[in-house]
Amino acid sequence: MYRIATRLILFILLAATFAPSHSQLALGVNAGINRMKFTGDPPKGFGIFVPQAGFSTSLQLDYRFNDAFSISIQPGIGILRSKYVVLNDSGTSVIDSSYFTMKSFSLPIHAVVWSENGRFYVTAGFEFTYTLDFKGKIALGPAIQSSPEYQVTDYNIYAQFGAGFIVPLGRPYLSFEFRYSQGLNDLTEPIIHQDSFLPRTKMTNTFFLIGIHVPIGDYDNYKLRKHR
Amino acid sequence: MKRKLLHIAALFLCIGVNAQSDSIKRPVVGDHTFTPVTQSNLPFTNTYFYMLTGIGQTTDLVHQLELLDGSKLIGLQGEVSFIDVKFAYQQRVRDWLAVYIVFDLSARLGTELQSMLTQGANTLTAFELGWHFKLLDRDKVALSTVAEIQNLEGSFINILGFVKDVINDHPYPSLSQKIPVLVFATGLRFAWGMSDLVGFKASSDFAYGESYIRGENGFTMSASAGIDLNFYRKYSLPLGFAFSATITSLSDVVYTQDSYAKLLRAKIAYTKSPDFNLGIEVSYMKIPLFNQDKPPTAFSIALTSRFYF
Repeated sequence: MYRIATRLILFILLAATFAPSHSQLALGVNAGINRMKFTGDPPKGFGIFVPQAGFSTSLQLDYRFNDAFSISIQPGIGILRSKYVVLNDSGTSVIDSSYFTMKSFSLPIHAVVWSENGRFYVTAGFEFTYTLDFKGKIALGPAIQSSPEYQVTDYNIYAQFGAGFIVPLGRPYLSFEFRYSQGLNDLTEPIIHQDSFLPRTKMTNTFFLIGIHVPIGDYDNYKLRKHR
Repeated sequence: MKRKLLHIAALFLCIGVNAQSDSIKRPVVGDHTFTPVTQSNLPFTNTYFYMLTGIGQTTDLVHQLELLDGSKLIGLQGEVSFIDVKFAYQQRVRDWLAVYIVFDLSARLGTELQSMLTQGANTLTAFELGWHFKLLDRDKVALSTVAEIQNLEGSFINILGFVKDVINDHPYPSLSQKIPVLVFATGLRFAWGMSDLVGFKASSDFAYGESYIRGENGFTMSASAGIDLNFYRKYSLPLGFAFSATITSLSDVVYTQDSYAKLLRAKIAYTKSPDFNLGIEVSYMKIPLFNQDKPPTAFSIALTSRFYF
C-alpha cells in the first residue's frame, strides 16, 4: 500500500514537472458525496437494501491531449455506507436492520471527452479499489446487536460513467460531476455467504463531486471556446 | 432508481447546450432519412429522446405441465402476453461521440391458469449506459460502434416451484427469484443511403457477462439487417416504411440459456417532421420461453416516438 502511494506521488510530481514543456496538465482535488447500494442476490427473508450517503475525496491529475480529449487519474479515499432492512410480513415496519461501512482507497482512471465549447465533459473508465476496512453491524430486534466479521474481497474493480461541467475562475476552474459506478466483481464469496446478509453481491455507487483544478503551464485547451 | 435516472438525464440534458448544430438533427445518410426500428440500431451520434410502448401475445401456445406427483399433463393451451416500456436518451458530445442511457421495463405474463403455472410472471428491468462512436461518415454510408454496460434484473415468479417447495418442506420456499445480470456489450451500426427513397441498414452486437443462471458467464450476440423506405422527399408523402430481420440471444430479449430469438419487424412512420419520428411497429417473433422445446410464435405492436434536439 505504502509502495503504491509512493509511486503514485512520484508519478504526479514527474508529470507536473514536465507540464510546462508539454503543457495541458491540470492538478486538482475533488470531494463529494456518494451513495452505495448492494446489488445481488437478496438475503433470505423479506428485506431491501437501502443506499446511504457516504463521503469521497480524491486528488486529480488531468492530462489534456487536445481540446477534445484528456486522461484523468484520481487517487482518493472513500467512505461508503449502506443499510439492509428486514420488514414484517405486511411490509409496514422494520424487524431487523444491518449497517455496512466500507473504507477504501480508490484509483479511478478515466478517459474524458470535452464538448466543443469546453464547458461540458463526459467521462468513462475503471476504478480500482483496495478495501481498507469493512464493518457490518446487525440489529436483531430492539435489544440484540452483533458485529459479525465479514470476509469481503480486498481488491475491487468498477466500471464508471460520468458527466459534468466546469466553471472557470481565471486560471483555476471548478468542476461539478455526476458519476455512476458499477462493481464488476462480487464483494463476497457466494458459497460461504449464501444464507448471510451479504450473499453474492456487487456494489453500485453514485457520486456527486465538486472539484477545484489548476492548469499548469499553457492551458489553452482548458479555456472555454465559442461553439464552432 | 427513478430519481437517479432523472438526475442522470438532467445532467445529460445540460451537456446539450451548444453541443449540436441543426444540420445533424435527423438520421440522414446521403439524401436518405432513416426511420429507427427497435433492435436495428442506426449509426448516428445525434441527440434524441426515445420512447416505446408495446404489447404482444403468443399464438396457439401449448404447454406441458408436470404435476406434483411427477405425472404430466400435455396439450394445455394458454397464451403469454408481452409488455414493453422503454426510454432512451442519447446526447451528442462531439460530432464523433455521443453518450446514451436506456431504461427498459418488460414483462411476460401467463394469461391463463395453465400458462401462469408453466411460464409464471417474469419481469425484466434493464439499465444501460454507453458511448457511441462514429467511425465513418461518407457521402452515402455511415458506420459507428458502441461500448456499453448493461445492468439487468430479472424477476421470475414460479408458482408451481413454490408449491413444490412448500410440499417438500424446503427451508426457504421461494415464490419469486430476482437475478441481477451484469453485461458488457459492444457493437457495430451501419447505414447506406442508396437514394432519397431507399436505405439499407445493418447492426450487430456482442455481449459478455452474467446470465440468468447463477455462476455462468457467457457470450451473447445479435445481428440485424433491414430496408428503409422514405416517400417524403421523392413523392411528398410523409410516410416511411422500415423492415428489419433480427436474430438475437441478448439477455434483454432472451431469458433462457443457449437459445436465439428471431424477430421480423415492420414499421410505418410519419417522416415529414425534421424534429421527431412517430411510428407504429409490428413484430413477428419466435421467442424462446421457459418449458418450451421450440420457440413459440408471438406478435407484438408498439408505438414509438423519437424526438431530435
